[in-house]
Amino acid sequence: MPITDLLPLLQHKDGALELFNLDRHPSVTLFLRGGTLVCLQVNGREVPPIQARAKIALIASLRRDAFEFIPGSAPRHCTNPLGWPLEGLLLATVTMQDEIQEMRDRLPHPDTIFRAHGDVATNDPRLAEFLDRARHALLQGASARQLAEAIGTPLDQTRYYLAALRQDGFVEVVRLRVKANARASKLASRLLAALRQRFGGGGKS
Amino acid sequence: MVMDFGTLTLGDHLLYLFGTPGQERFDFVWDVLAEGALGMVLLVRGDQPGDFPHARRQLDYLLSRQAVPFVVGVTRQDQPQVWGPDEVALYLRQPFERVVALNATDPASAVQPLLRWLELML
Repeated sequence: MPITDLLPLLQHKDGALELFNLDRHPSVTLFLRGGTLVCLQVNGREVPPIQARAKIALIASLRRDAFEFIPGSAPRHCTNPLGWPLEGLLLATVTMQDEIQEMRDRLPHPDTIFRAHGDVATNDPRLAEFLDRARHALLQGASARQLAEAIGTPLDQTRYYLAALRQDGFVEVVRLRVKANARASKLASRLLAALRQRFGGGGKS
Repeated sequence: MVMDFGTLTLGDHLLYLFGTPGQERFDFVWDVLAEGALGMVLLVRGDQPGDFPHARRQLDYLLSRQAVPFVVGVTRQDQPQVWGPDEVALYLRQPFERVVALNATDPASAVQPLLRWLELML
């Protein structure tokens, strides 16, 4: 049963939903209380919010898994309780997957380097979580691939975040500047003269 | 893999011209060619705006990784329905002077990107 069908059934239950036999991925446990996701653990270890969203997206995209629900079970400790309403979480997950699919051709190349402008803040909670984790690297300049590895988010999702942040003007693509070079300039001058001589200054385009 | 290669003698200088496919699976070739290159010309079909997002992605990728003088050539300017260089420059978020119109079937027009590239290097 896909998690997108399963979670609504557990909307009013408190306990732990353990998902295992995930394709090339360790087991994931979702702790639910009062219709919210309280904590998400991978192999018994709590993961930060940005990774928790990524895990939900990953699980939602898998075609095969197995699950067990343990009523009443709660995490021993949860450093950063998530408190995400399940309905909103599922909607956001599915929406993002659809957007990634639709924007696939417009997502940046995984190795394009982006840089953030100083102190930026966004009201979008998904982007805010991403920025929190990626801010330091983005101030230095980082690619989606580097960020995905550092933060633990899927590459496509990281490209999506960067595209969204760029759209909102929070990050921009790094432009490496060509240093002024007297030698190159001299060479260009000679080549230009020869090219003009050969092609009569170039035709009208 | 298809790759174009040619030479152009200008005065005492022999220029090596390499052409590489734009598909992303060849991105390792882009890096190899761009590193140490004198310049780069990105050709975009002016009558195929569906390719513009890909061109922008490719340009962003290259310019964020290589400090190489470049121009963009917008081809097929002899076609009736075609995007002009200024429109493409706006789309690619590049200065107008970096984007040149050309008709690749006319040698005098095809040389325009090289002329502009050299002019911008002066």
